[in-house]
Amino acid sequence: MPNELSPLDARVRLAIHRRFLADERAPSAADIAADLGVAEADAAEAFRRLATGRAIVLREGAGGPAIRMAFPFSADPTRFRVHSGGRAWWANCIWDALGIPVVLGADAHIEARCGDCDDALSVTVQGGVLSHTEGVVHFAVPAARWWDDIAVT
Amino acid sequence: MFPVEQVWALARAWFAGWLDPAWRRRTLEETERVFVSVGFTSPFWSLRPPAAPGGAGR
Repeated sequence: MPNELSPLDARVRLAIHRRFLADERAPSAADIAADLGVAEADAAEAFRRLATGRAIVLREGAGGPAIRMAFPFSADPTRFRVHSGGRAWWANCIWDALGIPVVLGADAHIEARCGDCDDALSVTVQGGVLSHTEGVVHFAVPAARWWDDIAVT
Repeated sequence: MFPVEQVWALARAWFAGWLDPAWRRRTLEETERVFVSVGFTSPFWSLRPPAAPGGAGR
């Protein structure tokens, strides 16, 4: 599994993240094709290569590949909601939720729910510092098995 | 169980440069160095058990 991306795949990956940031939802292959001026089929194939390289996670449907995860963003609602600058995104886990303000380079407020007891956890990142640090994080799956089922991880 | 502060340190290390056009997936060794840098050194964070598929985290 190569770690380097081809020039097209690197552009597609970056465009996916920029779209996620701007639109607060996952872009389609058609969106990315339009952004980059490439054929939709080429964008879709880039999606698949990025998924093979574990840069994103897809679900395949009748309309072709659709983004399920583009770390740190989730296309689907989760227990982790990140708010910043009047916008909001779903994150895949608390690691990713904390990654969104890093990617944004901005302050953020994170609303999370415990996967064990469903208690609410609220975390604020302000000026690069956590202002609320109560609570602990439970990682359920050892690192070497994360990709056995990344959605469970 | 890990303190939120420690996971914040992981997020900062992991997602630094995430939107850099030259981003590439970390190698297994690079991933291990990130984990160690934030204190994740237990076997739970090992990426090298005998049955592990080739890969370097996310």
